[in-house]
Amino acid sequence: MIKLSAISKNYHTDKVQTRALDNINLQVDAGEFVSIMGPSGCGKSTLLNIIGLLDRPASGQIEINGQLLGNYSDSQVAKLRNQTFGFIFQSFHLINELRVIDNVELPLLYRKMPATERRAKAKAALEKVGLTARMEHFPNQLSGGQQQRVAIARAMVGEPQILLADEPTGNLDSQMGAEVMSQLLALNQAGTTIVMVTHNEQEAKHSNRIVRVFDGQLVQ
Amino acid sequence: MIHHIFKLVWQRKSRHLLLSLEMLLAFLVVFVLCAVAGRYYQLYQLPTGLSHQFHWQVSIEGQDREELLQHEAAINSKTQLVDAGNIPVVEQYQRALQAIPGMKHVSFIDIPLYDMSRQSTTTQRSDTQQRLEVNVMNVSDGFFSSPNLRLVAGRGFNQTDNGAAHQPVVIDQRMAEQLFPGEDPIGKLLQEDSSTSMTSFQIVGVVEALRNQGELMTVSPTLITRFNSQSLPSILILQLADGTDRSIEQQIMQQLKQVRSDWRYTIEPLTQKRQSMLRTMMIPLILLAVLSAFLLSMVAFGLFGVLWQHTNARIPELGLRRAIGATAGNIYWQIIAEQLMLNLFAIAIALLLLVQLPLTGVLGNLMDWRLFLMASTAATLIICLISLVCALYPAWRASRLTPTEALHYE
Repeated sequence: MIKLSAISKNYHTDKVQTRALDNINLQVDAGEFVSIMGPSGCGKSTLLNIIGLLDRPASGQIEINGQLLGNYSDSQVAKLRNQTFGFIFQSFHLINELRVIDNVELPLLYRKMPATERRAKAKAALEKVGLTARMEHFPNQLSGGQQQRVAIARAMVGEPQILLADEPTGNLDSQMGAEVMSQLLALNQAGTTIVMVTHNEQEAKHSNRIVRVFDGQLVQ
Repeated sequence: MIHHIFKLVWQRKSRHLLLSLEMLLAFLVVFVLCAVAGRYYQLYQLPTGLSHQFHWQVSIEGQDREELLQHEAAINSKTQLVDAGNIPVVEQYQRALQAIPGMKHVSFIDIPLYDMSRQSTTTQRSDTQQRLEVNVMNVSDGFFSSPNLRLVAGRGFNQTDNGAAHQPVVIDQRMAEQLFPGEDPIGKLLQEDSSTSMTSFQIVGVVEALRNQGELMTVSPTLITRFNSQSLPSILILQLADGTDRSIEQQIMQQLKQVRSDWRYTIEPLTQKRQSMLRTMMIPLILLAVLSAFLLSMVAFGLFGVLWQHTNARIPELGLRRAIGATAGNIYWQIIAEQLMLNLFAIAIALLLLVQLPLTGVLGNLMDWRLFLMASTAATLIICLISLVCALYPAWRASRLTPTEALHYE
């Protein structure tokens, strides 16, 4: 489903070049739940961003569902992000001026889909995360855990094949973190491929496979 | 998507309040500028009744006070005052000037053309006593030979008016519409509304328009009275053959001096007077345009700064949009569309205020619906264009960021 071959990524700040990823080879199969772990600054979020086509590698090849993405245009990549991937971020990235239902609908705005269908799908996604009663609220009226569940609903509303989660419980207390993890596990059991960056060994144990990154390289 | 953008702009209304207010004030200024320009354009399109090509105006000065009083007394007593050779001065000028080859018509008036002068009086209908403030111009019979002074009813002045019981007058269409709506004004009597004057007038004709200041003069009801041949002439209008150039002025001067060498004459082509008058009347509009341009440039700089800050503050949100499927183009157009929508909110409020002008008619003829629509459309386009130009760079810059850069932007 996802195949990274010899991926490297460098960051340039002033005259300093930092190698964030160095010759990464990784394959994630359909239905897998993979955790990426490693110390801060080791390159795990960079790796997740490259998997999710949020960033381009300096070298190497990415294949998604058997398609090599080397010469994809901005609009083709945007379409893949919209239809193949769902993203969950540590800081939720909800738009505070929009109601919960509007936040969840957001990915569908970039598909040519009628408003009534968008609304129905968003309601269904909120129902799955148990927030139907909160759909007319604004994000700042919700707890952190509820906000992350809204973000999960937004990630799932377009029925993506792959869910990418960057420390989804990093800003939550243990109880709320457990709620979010149970949502992710339920989605994985329903067939969604999940790649999650985490610092938390306990959460990583829920996944099928743990990939460790150190100084931009895979260590196992 | 438009509904989504509307929702975003509406939800952020308190944050955009000052920006909207700035756009509203800028719109009001631009509207005033466009309305004044539009009004000038409307006036320019209207008939003046004046012809300027191959026409010269001669201003006569130097008549002494005693002579003026003698002529006035002669007019009042209806006796004939003649100069040496038993010919009235007016006729002497006629004869001397008609002797110039190419001279088509000589006429006499009492206020200069294409000049800021105007005289007005209040007149009233003899039957209904309805009063009206009118511009007054005194012209000789020959003035009606001007090709642009179109009679729409009746006739101009001629010799049959000599000795008439009532002074013959010609009125313009505006006066006919205001004083005789739905009636034929020809033959109707008017009175000068003055405690010192018992003059009564009879309307013999209606002209399309006569605006002595030219194209940019406001349209007011106008009364044209007949120039008395016993009067001392002060302004002559000479119509010469097509192709006549300014070298004729020397010959005109010689002929004028033959009649009265002790008087001073100023000869000017009407085309030149018209251009000078147009320039003079455009000064307020030019000043307003310069002030508006200065103000709008300030607004544009302010707008650019605010948009730059607003866009920077929203970059993580834009990064999220990129992550969930927006293209760079989607981001670019969203920022521009939001700015235009915000503008339209401000413009809608300004228009709600401004529409009171034509609705209440507080500005009278100065602001009709056509002018309102024209000025509103032009001002809307100008303000939207300024907004668009100011939004282009912040939108472009935001759209160039990769999703990762945007999501982690601080």
